[in-house]
Amino acid sequence: MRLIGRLSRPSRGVGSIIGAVFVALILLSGFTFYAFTQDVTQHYNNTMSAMNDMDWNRNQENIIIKQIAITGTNQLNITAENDGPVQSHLIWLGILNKTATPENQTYQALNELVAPSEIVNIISDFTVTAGNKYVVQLVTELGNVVESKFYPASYVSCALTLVTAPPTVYQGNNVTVLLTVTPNDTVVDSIQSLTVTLNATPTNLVQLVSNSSLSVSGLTRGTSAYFWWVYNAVNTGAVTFNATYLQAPAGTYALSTAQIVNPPQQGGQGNVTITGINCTASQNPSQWNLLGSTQYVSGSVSDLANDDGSYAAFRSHTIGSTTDISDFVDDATSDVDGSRDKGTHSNFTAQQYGPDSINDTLTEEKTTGNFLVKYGAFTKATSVGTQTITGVGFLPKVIIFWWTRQTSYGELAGISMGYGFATNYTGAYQNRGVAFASNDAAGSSVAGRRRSDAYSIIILSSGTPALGAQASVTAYNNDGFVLNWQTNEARVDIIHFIALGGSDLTAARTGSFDLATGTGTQDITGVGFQPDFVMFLWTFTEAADTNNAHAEVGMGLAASSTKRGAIVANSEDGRNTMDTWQQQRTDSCILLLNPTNGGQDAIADFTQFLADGFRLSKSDGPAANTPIFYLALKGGEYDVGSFDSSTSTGNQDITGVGFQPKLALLATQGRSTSTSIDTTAELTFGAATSSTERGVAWFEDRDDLPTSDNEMENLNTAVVRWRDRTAADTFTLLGSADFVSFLPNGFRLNWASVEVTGRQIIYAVFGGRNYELDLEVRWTSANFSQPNEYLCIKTGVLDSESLKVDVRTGSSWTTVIESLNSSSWNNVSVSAYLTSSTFTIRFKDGISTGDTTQDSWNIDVTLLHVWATPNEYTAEVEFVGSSNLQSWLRLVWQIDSCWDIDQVTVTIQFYNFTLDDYATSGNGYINYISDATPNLYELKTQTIITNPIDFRNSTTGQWKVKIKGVKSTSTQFLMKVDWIDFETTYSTIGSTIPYNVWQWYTTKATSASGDPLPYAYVSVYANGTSVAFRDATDKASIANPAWVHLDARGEFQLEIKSTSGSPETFVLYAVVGSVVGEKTIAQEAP
Amino acid sequence: MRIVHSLFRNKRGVSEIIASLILVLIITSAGVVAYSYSIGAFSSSTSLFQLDTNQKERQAQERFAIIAVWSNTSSQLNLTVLNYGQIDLTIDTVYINWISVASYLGGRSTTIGKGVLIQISFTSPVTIQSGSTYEIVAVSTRGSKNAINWKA
Repeated sequence: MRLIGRLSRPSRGVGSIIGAVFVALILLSGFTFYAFTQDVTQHYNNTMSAMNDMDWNRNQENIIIKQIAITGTNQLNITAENDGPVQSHLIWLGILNKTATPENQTYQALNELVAPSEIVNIISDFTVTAGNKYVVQLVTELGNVVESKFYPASYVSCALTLVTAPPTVYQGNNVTVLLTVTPNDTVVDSIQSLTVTLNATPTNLVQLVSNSSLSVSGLTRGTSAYFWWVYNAVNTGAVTFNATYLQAPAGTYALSTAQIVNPPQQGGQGNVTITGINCTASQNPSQWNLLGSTQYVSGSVSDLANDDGSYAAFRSHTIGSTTDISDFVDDATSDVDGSRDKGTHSNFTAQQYGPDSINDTLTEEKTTGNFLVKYGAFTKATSVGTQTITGVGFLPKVIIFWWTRQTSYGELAGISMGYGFATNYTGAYQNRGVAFASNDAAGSSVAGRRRSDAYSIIILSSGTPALGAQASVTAYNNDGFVLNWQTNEARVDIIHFIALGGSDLTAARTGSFDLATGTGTQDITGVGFQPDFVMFLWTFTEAADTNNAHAEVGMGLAASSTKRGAIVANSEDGRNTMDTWQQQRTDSCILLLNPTNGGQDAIADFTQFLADGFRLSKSDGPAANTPIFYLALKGGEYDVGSFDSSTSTGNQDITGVGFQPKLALLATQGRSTSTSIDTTAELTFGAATSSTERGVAWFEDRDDLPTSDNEMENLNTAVVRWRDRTAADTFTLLGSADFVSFLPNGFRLNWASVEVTGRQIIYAVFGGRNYELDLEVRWTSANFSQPNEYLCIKTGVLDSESLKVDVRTGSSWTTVIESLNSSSWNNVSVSAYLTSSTFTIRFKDGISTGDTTQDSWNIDVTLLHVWATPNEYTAEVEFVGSSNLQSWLRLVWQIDSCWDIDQVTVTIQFYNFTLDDYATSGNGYINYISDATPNLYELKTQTIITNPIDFRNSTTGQWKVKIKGVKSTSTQFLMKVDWIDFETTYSTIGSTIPYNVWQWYTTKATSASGDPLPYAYVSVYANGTSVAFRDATDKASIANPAWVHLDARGEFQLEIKSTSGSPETFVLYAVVGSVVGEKTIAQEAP
Repeated sequence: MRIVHSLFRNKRGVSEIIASLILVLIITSAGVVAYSYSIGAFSSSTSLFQLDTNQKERQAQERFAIIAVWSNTSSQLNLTVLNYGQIDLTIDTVYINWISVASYLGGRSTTIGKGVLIQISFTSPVTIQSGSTYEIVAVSTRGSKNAINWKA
């Protein structure tokens, strides 16, 4: 039962779960359906809402076609306004041609957004024909269509209103006819073009005087167009005016009648009089006079005749004399700094004149520069570890070592010697060393060799060989270097060294290469720069840092393909009879001997330096690739050569090296010149940097002895020295020289021991290569009291190296020009330095060390420009003109001028001929300060009524005015005068008129009763050749002839001007009705 | 006896289990049938509702207007119809004075894009007399219509 119970309970549970799942699914489905219907309904509602909004907006739209016109190119010009509250988007322009058969309709796409109240003009793409009926449609994006019927006038009914004013008019007076046209057609919205006409009946009663434009286009329904005509009532009677428009529908017209009557007859015919009033003549200057030192700049007197922007310009001047001195440099002999001049002048005088393109060429001098050398010797440390060598005096770049295994100077039996060098290139130290050893008193020779590309000092303790000590340079410092003894023995052996440094030595590197088998050229690259000198060391083919039987050591030197030399020594090991060899050649830089037999293994000559190394030429290739160490140097001067030792004691000068050396290396085997391999191994190597700093090491391993008998020697009191074994354990001194000095072109030795025959000595000399310029020039009587003091140097062509200019200030130099510009003036203020009559500058090259290129610079002129700046400028010009001798009622002068600088104190003075002086106040005088804005024209005018004739010459009529501008400034400025007008007015009856002046006449009309005829129209006319009219009141031009109307007093103020080229008489007519007034006027000669 | 008794008890137990399983199957089957029917009914209703609503919605989005009418001859009329609604539409029928046009010369059944004008030409089913006014009705395929009174 328990089992059944357990079984039945789960069954009920499953059923319930299933039931619940189905209920849940049904509910979920129902909810999904509900949500879906809600979504669909919502979407529908949104759409309906959007459409309702659109409908609402559509109802809000209100586009009005305000006017339609036809353009000159027969396109429609539609003016539309958005009169609704919402923006409209016009998308179509349609036009329906109602005249065509069949009708046709054309639509043009638009994209015109019209904001509320905005008016837009739309030009159709298509053309229309005037006279056809068109319906014009504008369609909006929201579906609204606004249309306008655009018909010709022939299809339009208009209301016409015609009025005559006054309806009754006196004969001779004018009558104005007014017409109003108002389209009132219920169909047509706009009239294409409407032209009105007016007929008067009978025609002989009136004469048309003037009328408005008689056409209008695009007249829309409900709007009115106005037209007017002015007729003169010529004859009495009733005149009927009939107005209509062209192609007006039948019956479309308007009538109006005017009665023309005789004017009141009171005492007969009226009168027209012409009375001369006055004459106004304008004059302009006919010449000018420059006052003071004012200068003419531009323009002419004709530019002064009109206020038109054309001007005459004058340049201001300063009062009094100014200091302006150009003081050329005086001499080139000064030496204010105690440092001798470096470089040369080609023609110093050229600097003292010009500029004339005649130059003084400054050329750099070759100097020893900054090539630093130091010979030294030290005793090595006795244990492993570092050893610091000091006393060099500068930061080394190269150390060359040579040594014998000796703890004291002098001779010593046995041979253990070597050479080495060390550099630091691109931050890493390079060391190379070679060693040679041969034991003394050995029945069977004991000779060996060792080389290292890690150690620059290798001391063999035996010819076995056995390594006694070896060290490498691990650091340079400002006074020496640091050695690290990797292997050492408790001996204080003497090590000789040469240290090289200084800025002239721009690169140094030691390295290794294999002299490859075979003959021909071999390029050694990877040096990193193009060397100027290379030194070689070698032993033979053995692996580095290994002890090897058979001693061999060699050294080569090369500065070019013709300046080279090599020396090698070889001592065979294990020979019962000594077998030693040597070779020295000056046509090679590397010589290899076979260590086992002394035979020639290789001969290599030096060919050339390469951009990244050098090239060798092998006339005899080695039997196997043989490692060679090299020391490559760049920067400085080098020479390699040879000479024969002196055969007499005393000095020997070795010259022809091409420069003054600072270091000499000497190597020899104490033999006469020969290229062959000789017996006996012997080699001397010495170096000197001064007469007290020199050292030498020598050895000889004699050939062909049953028992070895050899010796070595080192000294610090000689630079070259050799001996020969003359008996057992006896080595006789044969040659010995000390170093005396360096010469400008070589060096000097002093021989204490000589041979009867000169021995070939190979030398290498080192020197700085630098070009410098340091040339002083001086003024000895300079003006140093002016506010402006400039050093001015005019240059010609300059080489690429910069050339700076320093001025002497106290005990030092101050650079005022870092780099002179080529072929130009180089000006710099020296006010701060020019404090006495003696003034010294120097030309200094931009690169004073390590400069391997000789530059030159052309100097045309060197001068001091000193001047005083003026503090006030003045411009002053007198203008003169002519006028007449009439009795002037008034003088009006006008001057329009400006200044190209702000706030100039300006004085305008007309000459008062009565006072016989320029006016200083009142009439004829104005003083003002010009505007703060430069070049702003200011019109100054003055009307003189009291005694205007004071300002003319009473006999010639001449007048003159003086314009003066003054400003406290150091800047010169310009006066610009645009217009000077001298206008005079005088009374005249008008019977004569001067040429080209305005003369005033009053025309007056009166009735028969003598009363003025107010507002009557008067015809004015002058029959002269060239007579101009203008209204005297407002100066407005009037045509000749013209209709003018009288004022309330029955008067018209007329001005006339005659410009006939020759004198002539003409008549001025004034006609009112049939009454004519005349005045005969004589124009005077121009 | 214990064995016999246990056998009897086991037989009764088997029958109850089977009965329970049968009951579960019946309930499940009924549920599946009811669920399937309800889902079908829901789907059908939903589809119909959506179809109907969409049709109404699209019809509501239709807007067009006859913006010009002119005649080429006494019997040929031309309508210019502008679609300014939110969807494309097609003119299905034109009526003149409630008489359906029988002969179309062009423009009918052409889809009119939004903002586009189309010209519908047809032969009027009634004689056009100048000066007379005619009621012209255009009906779209969705049943929207636009009518104007046109004076010949």
